[in-house]
Amino acid sequence: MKIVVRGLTKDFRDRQGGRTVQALSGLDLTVASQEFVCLLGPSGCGKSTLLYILGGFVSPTGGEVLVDGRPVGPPGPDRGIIFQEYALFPWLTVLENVMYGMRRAESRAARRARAGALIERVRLTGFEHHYPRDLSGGMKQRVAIARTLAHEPEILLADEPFGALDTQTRSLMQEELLRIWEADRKTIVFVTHSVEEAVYLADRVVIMTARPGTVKADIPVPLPRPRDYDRLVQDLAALELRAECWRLVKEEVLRAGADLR
Amino acid sequence: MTAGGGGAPSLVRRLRRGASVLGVLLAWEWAARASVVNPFLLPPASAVLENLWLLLTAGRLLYHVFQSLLRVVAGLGLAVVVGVPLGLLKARSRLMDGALDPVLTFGFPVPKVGLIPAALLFFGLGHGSKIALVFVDALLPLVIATYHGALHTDARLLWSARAMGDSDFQVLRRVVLPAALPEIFTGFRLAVTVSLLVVFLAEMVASSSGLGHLMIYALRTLETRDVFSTLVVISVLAFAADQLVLTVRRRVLPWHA
Amino acid sequence: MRHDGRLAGYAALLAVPLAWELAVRAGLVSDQVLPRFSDVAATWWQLLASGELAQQALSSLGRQAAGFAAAVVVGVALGILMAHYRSVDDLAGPLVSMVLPIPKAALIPLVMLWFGIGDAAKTIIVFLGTILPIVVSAYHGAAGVDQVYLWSARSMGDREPALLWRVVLRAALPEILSGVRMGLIISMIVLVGSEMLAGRGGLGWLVFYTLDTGSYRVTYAAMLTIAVLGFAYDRLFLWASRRLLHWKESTA
Repeated sequence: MKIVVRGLTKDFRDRQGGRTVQALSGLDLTVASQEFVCLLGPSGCGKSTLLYILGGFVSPTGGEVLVDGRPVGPPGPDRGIIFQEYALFPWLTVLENVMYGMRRAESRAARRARAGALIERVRLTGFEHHYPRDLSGGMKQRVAIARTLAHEPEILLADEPFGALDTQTRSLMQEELLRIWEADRKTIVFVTHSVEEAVYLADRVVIMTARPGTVKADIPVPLPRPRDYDRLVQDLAALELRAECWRLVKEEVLRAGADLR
Repeated sequence: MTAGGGGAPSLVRRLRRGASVLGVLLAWEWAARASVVNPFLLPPASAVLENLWLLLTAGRLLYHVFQSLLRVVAGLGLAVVVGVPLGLLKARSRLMDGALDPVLTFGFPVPKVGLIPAALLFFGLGHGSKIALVFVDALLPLVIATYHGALHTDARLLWSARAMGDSDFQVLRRVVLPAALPEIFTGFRLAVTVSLLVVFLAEMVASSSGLGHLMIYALRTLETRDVFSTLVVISVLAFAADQLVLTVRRRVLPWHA
Repeated sequence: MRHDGRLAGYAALLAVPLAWELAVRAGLVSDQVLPRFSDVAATWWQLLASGELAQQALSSLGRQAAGFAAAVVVGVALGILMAHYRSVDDLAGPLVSMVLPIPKAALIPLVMLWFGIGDAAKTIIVFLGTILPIVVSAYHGAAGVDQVYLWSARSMGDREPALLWRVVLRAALPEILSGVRMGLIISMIVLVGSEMLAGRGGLGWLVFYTLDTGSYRVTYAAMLTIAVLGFAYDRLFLWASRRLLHWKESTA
């Protein structure tokens, strides 16, 4: 197992020093190597928090989180992260952004070459010397993907990466991501709001409960790869999976809504 | 840095912060008393406070405080009366906008302290020159702040007012001005800071009264305790003035963050 | 549209020397108080030609440059460290807050007391006067850096101190530069002020010396030089800022 999570809990203390908020409670999860897992759940269920713990950005309050059998440490190049807000460094060009995470051990020429290849892989050839401000949302996210792939992580963590894109770009980006992923299958943990997106992309969809978050259901998606979006839209198995996932998520969304302060 | 807890400063942190201030004060007191540092150059904190009390009760101090304050208030008052309308005008009228731009662009970075001699020549050694300098220095930040505040007024607010029958002037007074107030206050805070800076400097350079004069006089007569005492008074005054502005702002703008 | 207004504005500025000249000639203002513009201009030219102006100006600028440069380096570093490390913030923060409200002019006599009236003292005055706005803006800039930048960099292997240099400084640069600009303006003010108070050359000294001796033409010539230098310095800084921030998208 690439990632093992056992009994994970995470508490946050309220800013004013008052109440403690339990974000995650007794969460168990395993992710196999090269698996594409989507975390699905209502807002505030803690799916992003789980992702950040996997990335080492946030420390757990209790429980175990193991990557390759060892407790997860501080952030590092073995786990790449992609954010909804792209997080491209605005003061660097596309090329410089992609080269950012590459080891200095390589010669500059070698790094440039590799970066160029990655840029080509995400289909942005010609934009190497542009600044992020010149790019559209979809383009920025593609640069972010290239940048993360550049430091060759074994695990890819994605926090609703397509959430800020319009629906059309979003669909195209989903296809892009799968296309890129097919080439060398990394382990991916992908957080999303969208049931459709989760079923389209994942090998497994993990549905989380409302806060405090724990695993409600773990649904395998045995649809064949490579996945053709246009066909899947009409595929019966896919539709059933989507309906089932939505049913489960909806329960949690309603529960979360009832608890709103 | 992990994103855990965060939030209200813990007891440890508060202690650390208090400790650092306390530490400096204690070090000051000790260094002066133990003559680690020449106590002439750095009188013990306690001696400074003692001296301060003396100055206060002997009466001289309050007179000078009053002189400085008078100049600042007068200059600031004038700056507000002239600057805020100018700023509003600049925001509402394209013509005024362009016309005032060069003045602001050239005026802002110029160290207006360089105008002290001119002010002295024109207005003499008394209040006039100081008030004139405060006015000139406080004017630009106020104009700029008012301008920015007025500019960002939501057009929909203006349209609503118009639709309810307000005339041009009424819209300006009842909608634009209140909407611009937060920004105006920010500019006013800056203007206060600059005014204090200028008035004390001008008093140091050429005046027979005021805190600035007091300080430089103490220096020239080598009354180092007076130098420190005056510094303390000036600092307290500046701090109090800033707090006053903030308090007034809270009262006047309860609806703003 | 805007064009017309601006034209009028510039015209008004250019008209100032003209109005100046006419006002004095017409006797509206005594030429004891305000020498004719033409006389001032002639004097200014003389000073320039004799090298006197250059000498005093360089003297002033030299002190300003040293103090200002030091303040930028120390101030930016301190601000960033304070924003990034709680321990530094706890130690330095209260001290900064205490010194912050003090009008920088009030520090001049104190520094003069300790360090005399020479170049060193003036440089220190500029340093102290300038450093605070820089620390504050560096602090706010660094504290305001979006978390996702830091996390991305960390996940790509960056650690402190490289992280501070490669990411925090760059991301906070816009805010830092606006604070540095304020520092620049303040540095000129305290520099000229300290030169007026404590002899030993420089444009501020020149202004005051000639005021005392009654050579008002030189006084005004020096005043104008100060104004122009201050303006030019600021412009230079803005140009440099624009180049440093060329990657920034313009915010509405």
